[in-house]
Amino acid sequence: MNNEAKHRAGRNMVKARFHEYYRRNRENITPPKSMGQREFGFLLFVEGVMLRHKSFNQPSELGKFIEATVPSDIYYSAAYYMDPEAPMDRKGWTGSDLIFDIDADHIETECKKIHDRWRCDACGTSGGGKPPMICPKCKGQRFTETTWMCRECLEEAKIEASKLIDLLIRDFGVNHEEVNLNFSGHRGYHIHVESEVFKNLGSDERKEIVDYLTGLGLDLKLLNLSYPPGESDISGKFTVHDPGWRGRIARSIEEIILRMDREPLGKLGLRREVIESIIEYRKNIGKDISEFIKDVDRKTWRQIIHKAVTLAKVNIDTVVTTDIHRLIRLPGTLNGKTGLKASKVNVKDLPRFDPLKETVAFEGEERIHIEEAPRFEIGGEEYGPFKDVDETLPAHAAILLLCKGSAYPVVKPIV
Amino acid sequence: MSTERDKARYPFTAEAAEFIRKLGLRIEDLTSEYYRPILVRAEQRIRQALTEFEVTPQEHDINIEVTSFPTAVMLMSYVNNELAKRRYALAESKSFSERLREEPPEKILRIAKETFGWDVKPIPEGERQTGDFLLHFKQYLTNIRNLRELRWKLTNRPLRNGYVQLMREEAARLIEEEIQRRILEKTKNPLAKLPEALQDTIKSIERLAATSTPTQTPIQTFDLKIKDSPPCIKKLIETLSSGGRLSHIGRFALTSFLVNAGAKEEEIVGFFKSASDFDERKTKYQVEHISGRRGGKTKYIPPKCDTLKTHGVCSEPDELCQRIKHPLTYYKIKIGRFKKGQVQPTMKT
Repeated sequence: MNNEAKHRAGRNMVKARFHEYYRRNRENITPPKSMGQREFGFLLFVEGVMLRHKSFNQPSELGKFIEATVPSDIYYSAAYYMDPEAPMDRKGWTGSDLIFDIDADHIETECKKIHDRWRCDACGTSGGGKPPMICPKCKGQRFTETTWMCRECLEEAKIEASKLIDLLIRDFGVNHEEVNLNFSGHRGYHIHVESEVFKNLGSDERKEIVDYLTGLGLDLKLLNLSYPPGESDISGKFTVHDPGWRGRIARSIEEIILRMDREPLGKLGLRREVIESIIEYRKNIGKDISEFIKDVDRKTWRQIIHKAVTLAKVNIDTVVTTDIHRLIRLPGTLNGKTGLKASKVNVKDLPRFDPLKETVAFEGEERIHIEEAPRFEIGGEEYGPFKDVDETLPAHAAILLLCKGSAYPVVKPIV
Repeated sequence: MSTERDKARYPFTAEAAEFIRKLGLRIEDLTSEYYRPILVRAEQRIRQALTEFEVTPQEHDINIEVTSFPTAVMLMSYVNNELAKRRYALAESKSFSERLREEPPEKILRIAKETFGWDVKPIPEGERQTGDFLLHFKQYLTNIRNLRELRWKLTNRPLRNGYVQLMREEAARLIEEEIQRRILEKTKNPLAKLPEALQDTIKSIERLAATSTPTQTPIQTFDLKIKDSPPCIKKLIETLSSGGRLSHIGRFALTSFLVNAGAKEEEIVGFFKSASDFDERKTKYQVEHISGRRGGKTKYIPPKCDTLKTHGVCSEPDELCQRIKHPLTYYKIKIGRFKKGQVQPTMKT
C-alpha cells in the first residue's frame, strides 16, 4: 500500500467508528435553542468537503441526516436566520448568540515545545513547537504541523474559561443558566451565551465586549490606578469589590500578594526583590492588599499592576466572537481531529472535569501502525512515545492517532 | 410632564412627537400659506446647521418650533448630499445635548427612558462619587460606536451586573449620539414623493449644501506607494516577505488595502508569493473576491483601525495613526488626496 492508501484506510476506519457511534448515540446530540432558525454545516470525510446551508426543524431529522452522511465534524450557526438554507446574503439575519472560543492554540504553554511537531514539506526535517520561518536544513518555507492536546494545555484553557464565565456573570450580569460551557473535543472550550440581551448586538458592539475581555485600551489614569496608588482616587480606596477592571485588577493583585507561591510568582516575571517583599509581607501582616500597596515604590507598583492586568485578561480567539455568522461545533458530536466527544460541561463541575477521560467515545481495541507520536494521555492512561511500531491499543487511543494522521490500520493477514 | 418650553427646546422627545401627531400635519399641508411659518423655520434650522454648525431654539411660538424639527428632518431626506445630511444631524444633536447637559439629572433620565427606551436608573444620592446614572451596557455600546476617546472604552468604565456608571454630562453626550443616529436614519430615504411646491426649497438647500460642504475628489486609480502605507500594512508586507504567515484577518486587511490603494491583481498575488503557505490558485480567487469581481460583486474595504486593534493586526501606530480611524484615510492623506483642512469623509465599514 502506498502512503495515501494507508491514510485513506485510516480515515475509513475512523468513519466506521463514527458511524457506529452515531447509530447508538443519536439521541445524545443536543440541538441548540430554536434549531429551525439555525444553519448547520458538516465537514465530510472526503477531503475538505463542507456541506453548508442545511437546516432542520426536528432533532430526529438532524439525527437521521448525521447517521446517513457520517460527517467528521458537525457545526451550527450561532446566528438565527429567517431562512437558514438561503445563500448568505439572503438568509435574513435576526440575531446571534454571543460565543467564545478558548483554545490552547492561542495560549503560550511550555509543553507545546514537547508535544507539537512540525515537519518540512521539502526535506522532511522536523522539530518541536511552532514551525520556524524557514527550514534550518533546506531553507524550505512550507511545513506540516501536528498539534497535540495535553493536560497542561487543557488546564490553562480551563483557567481562561473560568475567568471568562466570572467576567460575564459579574460584569455583564449574565445569568448562570444562560451560559453554556462545552469542551471542544480537542484543545479548548467553547462558551455560548444564549440570551436576548446579546442576541441582536452587531459586530461593533461585540468587538467592544472582546476589547473589555482582553483589556484592550485599558488606561490606568482613567481607572485612577496611577502611582501613588489610592491618592488620585476620588473615592479614596481601591478594593476587590470595585466594579469593572479596577476590581479585576484588585483581585489579581490580591492573588499575587496573598496567595501565589514563589514559583508562579517567578513565572509571572516579577523581579526577585519584589517576590521577596511579597513573601515577607505575607509572613508578617498580610491580611489584605491595601497595607502592601501603601508602601510600594513606583517601579514595583507598575510591575505589579502590569502583571495583575496580564493575569486578569481573558485569552480568547477575537475573530470568533466578533463574527456574527460564525459556525460553531455542535455539542454532543465527535471531533474529527481527535475522536473525542464535544461535551457540555456543567460550570460548577469545571474544576473537576477531566476532558481527556470523560469525553472518550469508543470501546474495544484496534491494531494500528504508528509512524510517530509523542507521549500522550487519553482515557486515564498514558501512551507512547511511538516511532514506527505496530501496536494494539484501546480504540479511543488508536482513533486519536488515526485522526491525527500519525498512524494507519494494520491489515489482518487473510488466512 | 414637560413644560411647553421643554417641547420647543427638545422637539425630539416622545412628548413632542405626541404633540405633533395630535396636530395631524401632512406633507402637502406644508405648502399652504397657513403653515408657511413652519416651513420657513424648518429651512432656517437647516441653513443655520449647515453654516454655523448649531441650531438655536426659538421659543416664542411653540407650535412652530416643535413642528419645524420633524419638518426639517423630512426636508433633509430629499437633499441629495450625504455630507450635508451628516452635518445637519450633527448640528441638531449637538445643540440639543449642550442644552441638555445643564438640566437636572431627573430630566435627562426621563428623556433617556421615555423617548429612547434606555434601561437607565439613578445612582442613590449618597453613592454618587463616580457617576450619577447606571446605564445598561447594551445602550451604552450602541452609542459609543463613534466615540474614540479612551474614556469611552468599556474597558475603562465601572461595569457591574450589566450596568455602566455614567456622569450626567456623559449621559447627555450619549443622548446626542442617539439623536444623531435617529436623525440620520430618518434622512436616509424620503417617505413620500416630493410635492411640486417644495422643489424650490430643496433646490436652494442643495445649493447651500454644495457651497458649505467640500466636494469629494472622485475615486481615482493611482500607483501603489508602499512607503505611504500605514505601519500595520507595512508590517503585514514585511511578515509576508520574510516568509511568515498571516492570520485570516491580516490577509484580508492587506489584500483589501492593496485593492483599494490601486494595486493591480498580479502585484497583489506577487506580495503573497513569498508566504510560506502560498497557494496561487487560492490567492487569486481571494483577490478577485475582495476586489468584487467574484461572488457577491462587492468591493471590500479594509477593516477600520479599531477592528485591527482588537484582532492584533495594528502595530506600532505612529503620529498620523492617532488622528485617523481607517488605514485608507492614512494612505490618502499621505499621498495627498486630502487637502489640508479639508473635512475627511468617514469611511463606511
